[in-house]
Amino acid sequence: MITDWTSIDDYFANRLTADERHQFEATLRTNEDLAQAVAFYVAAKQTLRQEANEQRRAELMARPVGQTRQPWPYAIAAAACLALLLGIGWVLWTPTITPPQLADAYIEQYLTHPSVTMSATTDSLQEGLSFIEKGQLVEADQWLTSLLQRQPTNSEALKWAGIVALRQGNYDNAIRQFQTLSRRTELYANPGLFLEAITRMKRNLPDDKDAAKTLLQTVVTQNLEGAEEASLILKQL
Amino acid sequence: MRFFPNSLPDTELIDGLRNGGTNRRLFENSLYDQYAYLIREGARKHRLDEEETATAYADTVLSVIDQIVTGRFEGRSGLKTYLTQIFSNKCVDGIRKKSTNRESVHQQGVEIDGSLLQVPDETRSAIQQLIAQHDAQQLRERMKLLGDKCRTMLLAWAEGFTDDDIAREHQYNSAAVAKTSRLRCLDKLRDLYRT
Repeated sequence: MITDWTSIDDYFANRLTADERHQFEATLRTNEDLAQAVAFYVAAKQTLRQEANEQRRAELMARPVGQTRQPWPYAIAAAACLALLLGIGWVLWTPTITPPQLADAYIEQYLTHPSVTMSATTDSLQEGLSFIEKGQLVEADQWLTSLLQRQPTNSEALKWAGIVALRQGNYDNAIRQFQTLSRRTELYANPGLFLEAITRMKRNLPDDKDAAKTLLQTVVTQNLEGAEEASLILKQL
Repeated sequence: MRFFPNSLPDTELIDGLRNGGTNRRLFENSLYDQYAYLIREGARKHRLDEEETATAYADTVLSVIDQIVTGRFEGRSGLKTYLTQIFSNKCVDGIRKKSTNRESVHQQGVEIDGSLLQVPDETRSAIQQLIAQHDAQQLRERMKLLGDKCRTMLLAWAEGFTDDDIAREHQYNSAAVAKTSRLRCLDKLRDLYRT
């Protein structure tokens, strides 16, 4: 018998109408197969959640622990010193963060360790990503290029091939890859424009800053992939 | 220089977690980092070692995230107060376990969560009995036999990510397609569990 997982899922997600809900509950009272499926649904979800929590706990615990909170007198003294230094600094020198520094911060935090996301893609792509994770960019480049030859429509491979080019300093190549990616209109989430902006910030040629700003504004106004980060970057650019 | 701010106001953290998407992980990390100083304070105050306290802290953060995402956190207190209270309770649990030597043994059955509360009373106990017959360890073993894509999709679902989030992460055309794939994976898991 084919299990009606959709009804079970809709029931627990409160997506059924009142009538459908009553009907489902009436069937549940008398139908042993449905009861077994519901039991499995709940048991599996709970076990999966425990499994996910264990993985996530290990990831969180691997994060570097921040500094302990300072006792009040030290914190006040530190704050007073900092305020003084900032005051002097404000007068003498207004600090600015350059576009390449912003791009570096983003690259370091988000484009260096692909495995930290909940990605699950084809094995070939995973192999390419594992090279990136290990910092073996030449091997990653070869692997992803070969993968793209076999699967030219693999958008995830295209994205990471661009990221590898960016990290290798092949900015023109990276921009080409991201532009190809951003032309893919059928994708549900497309980070092409956002990553092109990051690449232009990193390359920092005379027109790049303005071009990056325009791209980021497009990402924000059209709520494309990376919109939240784009709006943070625009505040600092 | 860190790209993502170290300290975010409660509203921003809560909205970031509730909005889901790939950014949810960033807000989870930010919440964890924001109060991570509690680990050392907890270890000192409750005389637990840092490993135990760090585990209690991570569990606390995961519990708070779950309560925020599922809407059970109503914002009656500040996040810091709420998180500190749960963390303190978990540390006390840790002390109790140490002093009474009652470390929890590996659990074979499946814990029953709140989702069953919506099942009518007259059916709930029967379903509970059926759930109790499931072997959590065997389920975990069978999960490993699923493909990567299926496994991560089901794990994301169990964590509270929506089908919309899953569609974005796995590049499906729509949430409906992601849902169909996710339920197909669940069916596959059941087949594996039965074998």
